[in-house]
Amino acid sequence: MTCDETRELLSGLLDEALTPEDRRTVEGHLEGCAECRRELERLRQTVALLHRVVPAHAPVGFVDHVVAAARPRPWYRRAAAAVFLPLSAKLPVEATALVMIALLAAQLYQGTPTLQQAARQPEPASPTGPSEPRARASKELKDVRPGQTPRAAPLRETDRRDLARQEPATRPESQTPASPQPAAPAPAPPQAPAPAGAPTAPAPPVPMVSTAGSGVAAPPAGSPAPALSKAEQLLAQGQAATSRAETESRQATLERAAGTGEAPSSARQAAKRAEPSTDVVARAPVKDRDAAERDLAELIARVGGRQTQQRRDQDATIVEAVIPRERYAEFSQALATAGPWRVEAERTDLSGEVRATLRLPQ
Amino acid sequence: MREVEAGDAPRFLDRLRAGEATAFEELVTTYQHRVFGVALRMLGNAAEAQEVAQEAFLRAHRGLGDFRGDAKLSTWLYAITSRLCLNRLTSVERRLVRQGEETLLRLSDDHRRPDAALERSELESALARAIAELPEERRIVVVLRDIEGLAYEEIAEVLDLELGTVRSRLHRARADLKEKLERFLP
Repeated sequence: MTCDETRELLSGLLDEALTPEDRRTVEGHLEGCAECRRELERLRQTVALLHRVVPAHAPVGFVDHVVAAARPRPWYRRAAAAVFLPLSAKLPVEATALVMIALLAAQLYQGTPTLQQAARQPEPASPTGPSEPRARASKELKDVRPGQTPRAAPLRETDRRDLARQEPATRPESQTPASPQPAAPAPAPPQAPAPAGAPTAPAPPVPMVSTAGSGVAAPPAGSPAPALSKAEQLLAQGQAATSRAETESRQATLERAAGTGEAPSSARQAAKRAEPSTDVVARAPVKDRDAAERDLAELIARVGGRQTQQRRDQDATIVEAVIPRERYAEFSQALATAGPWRVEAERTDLSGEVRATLRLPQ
Repeated sequence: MREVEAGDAPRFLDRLRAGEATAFEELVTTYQHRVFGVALRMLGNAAEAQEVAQEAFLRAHRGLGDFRGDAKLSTWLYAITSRLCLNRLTSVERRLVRQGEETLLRLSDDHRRPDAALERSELESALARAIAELPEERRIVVVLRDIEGLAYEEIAEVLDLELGTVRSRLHRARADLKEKLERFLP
């Protein structure tokens, strides 16, 4: 037996784990080999060192922990553990929750502008806030392509004109800002008629009453038109004055119908007093305002109407009255015979009560 | 030094198989240090050793119905513990390389005899380090033989190895330790 073969069996010799035959062979080799005897002694000393390793002790309370863990759990805890504890169940649930939260957040984010847009839809039939039309007009202007009729032409016309006032006259429509125009807290002061180059939405031809002395006819659709013609169109289109935008439209009409000789602020105030709506705008220069006011009041009372408002400016008196529709012809004829009255704008579909704004410049 | 193998009495086995709680508690009380010791020497981490030891007893508790009694209870428990340790080592081997030495040093302190611990601290540190550095298949053999005191045949049964394989691995483990502990030999 070689030294290597002998050393393979030295551990067994130490542990008395060799067969009697192997034991005799190894012991025979060791008698003649000092190196292997030395190796055996070193191995014996190593094993003696290992026996000096301090035995480990389980932590205090280990038995209690194990016994408690071995107790059968109530059925509801086992069911809960079966559902929530395994990673194979927990991970998909948590991942699904995360995905659902993300989807919900995205849906809310996308749904917010939709809700805002939906809130604007019923606007033509219901009153709206004072600052909304401008923002809506700016947004809807983006949607109007050249040659395309806007969905709500009168409002578009008004808003477009207002927008044209705020923007440079040379700005092409394609450069309209994408974001909605910030809502103005108060109506802008009236200015000169809209620039010729300002974008104008095409409006359908509107039947107008041939007004005495006005000589103004409805311009062809799509062509630049004077501000007065636009105002007449707006009146003739029979748009009920229910929205703020239409109110502004009438304000513009009244401003222009009242002439440009007065201060813009007074025209604006007169327009405001014409609210909530005006069916007829007329004017008659007078020499004696007091007498004219008295005569007008008598005429209104005679035809069964009522005077809703009267205001005296420095150079004109503005009377607002409501005339029964069936007596309006009589009222109109009486005005015509009394003096040089000029009806500047008049709706074609007068019905019920006619709301008239009468201006008496001196 | 070792607890009496009273757990292998037939009546005790019957009580265990019957699910008697006090019998299982006696089993854990009797073998807790041995099971924990093997886990600690193999894993080198007290927390992991406690976790594995508890899992070993719980598996034994669940498998008591299948325990035929052909082997001793201790052999059966060693087999469960060794298998759990070797499985865990395959997944956390790298972490053990980093943490094992420090943990083994800490756990080898003998708090009951601080003076003796101070005297033996260097040797025990070297022993713990040398054992922890052994390949796991040799480490488990030397732990079961030279620390736990199992016979060759019992080790072969625990690890499901041939007797020659046990002898060979043990010899190589001791040879490695002899080289590492050379300076402590007289």
